[in-house]
Amino acid sequence: MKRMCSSTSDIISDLPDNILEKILVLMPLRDAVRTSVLSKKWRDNWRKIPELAFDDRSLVDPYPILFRQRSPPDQLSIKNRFFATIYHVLLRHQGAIPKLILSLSELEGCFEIDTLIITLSSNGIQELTVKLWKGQPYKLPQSLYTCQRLTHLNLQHCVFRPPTTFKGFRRIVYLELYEVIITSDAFQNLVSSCPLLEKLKFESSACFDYIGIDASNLKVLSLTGFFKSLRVKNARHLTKFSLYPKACQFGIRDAVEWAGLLDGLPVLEHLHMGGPYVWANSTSGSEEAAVKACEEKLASSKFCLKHLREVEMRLVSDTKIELHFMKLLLAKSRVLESMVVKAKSS
Amino acid sequence: MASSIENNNEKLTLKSSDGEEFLVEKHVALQSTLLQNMLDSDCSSADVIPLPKIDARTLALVLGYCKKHADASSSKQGELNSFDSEFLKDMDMGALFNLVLAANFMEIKGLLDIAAQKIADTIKDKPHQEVREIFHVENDYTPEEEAAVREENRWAFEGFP
Repeated sequence: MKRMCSSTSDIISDLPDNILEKILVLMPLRDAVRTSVLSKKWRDNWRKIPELAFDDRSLVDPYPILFRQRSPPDQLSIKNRFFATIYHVLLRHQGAIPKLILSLSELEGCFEIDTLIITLSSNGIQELTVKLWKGQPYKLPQSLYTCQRLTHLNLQHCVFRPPTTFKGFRRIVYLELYEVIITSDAFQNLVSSCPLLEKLKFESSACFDYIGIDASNLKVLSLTGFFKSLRVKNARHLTKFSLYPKACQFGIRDAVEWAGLLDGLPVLEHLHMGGPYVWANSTSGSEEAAVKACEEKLASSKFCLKHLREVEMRLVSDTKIELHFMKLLLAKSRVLESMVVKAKSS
Repeated sequence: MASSIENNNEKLTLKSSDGEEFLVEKHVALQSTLLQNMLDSDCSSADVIPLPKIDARTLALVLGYCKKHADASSSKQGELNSFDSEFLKDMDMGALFNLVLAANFMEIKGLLDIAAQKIADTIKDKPHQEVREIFHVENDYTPEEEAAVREENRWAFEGFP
């Protein structure tokens, strides 16, 4: 049974299938396909990989200088070129595709992506990424909302408008929405109808009157954007919370919520925040109310951040509420290991 | 899991293919799903667990990795990441393959991931002749067959010699 791998024999070709698959998945698809030319054994290895990533690393020429045209190519020829490759790969591929990434900085939303998602959804896709940058936000096809085997969903520059019959994604654990067009209500419904959701990242430059998060299984939450009001409910398992409100002209309804937000987070370990820390249109009344809320919490023997180990506060601008909030965190955290405070550059 | 926490200080003995025995703390051994399953299924820790596919040199490396990851708290992720990248640096291909096979056999996902990533990084962006040389893969295609395979997957070879 003794087996030594000497460094002069061909070991790689005889690795177990699951290791070979893993190695091929961990390189760009273009490189994985190129291994077909190594030897006969390698010819079809790439065709069975369970993850396909159509991204800039694989679909944009590594040596564009060779192919550079005088005028930049138009969207139609870019799209045709990308999809010729995508269809070629899909037709040659064998077996299930539980994970697919479409992340192309040059591609605009189009009917061909609809077809791709419709096909994947009827084949039990589990992890789907659709990241776009150009053109109008891409309107996701209705079949996406029926993908009940999805565990991971990552969308960028898309329109998320589910039908009224949408029941949520029952198996999703990871959800990332970046610059996705969605209403406050649809967002709240989506999050509360994903019972297994553990990790949620949401970033948007649109303004939201209200962001409500009710997710009892959530462990990691990151929010960046313009939120007039924010409420996090039932986050009994939340260990990492990052909150970056983008601007103060909208403000959060009521600055008391900074302190109030910490109430429902019994196992919080990491807290990352960015300014502005004064909300509610910065009226002096609201800042006083916020300071008072901090002082009440400070005086309360019941309030305690038992697990908070690490805090980062960015864009601090030396206001009263910031100092009170820091004081509160320092006084009430029993196991705090590090607190980083970064001032807003003036 | 409850029993494994209670018996945190227990040790168990692993035996490599070349007969060397390693005394390992239980919480370190639990980094391996294979060992975890063996311990869960009533396998007495007094027994010596033979690992007939893993030589002593590789097993020592594997256990070094497990110890580092078992002892570090989750807040030290940055430290673990730099440990991981140092761990495989300058390792020769033979040792790397032994390691990837051991990680696969012992079901140590993190170690399998970083070892496979290192192999993948060695392959990508290189002309296939160079990949063949590094890994001693013998080209059994005729020139015509090789040209046909390239033609089949033409898009992937654009810009490559």
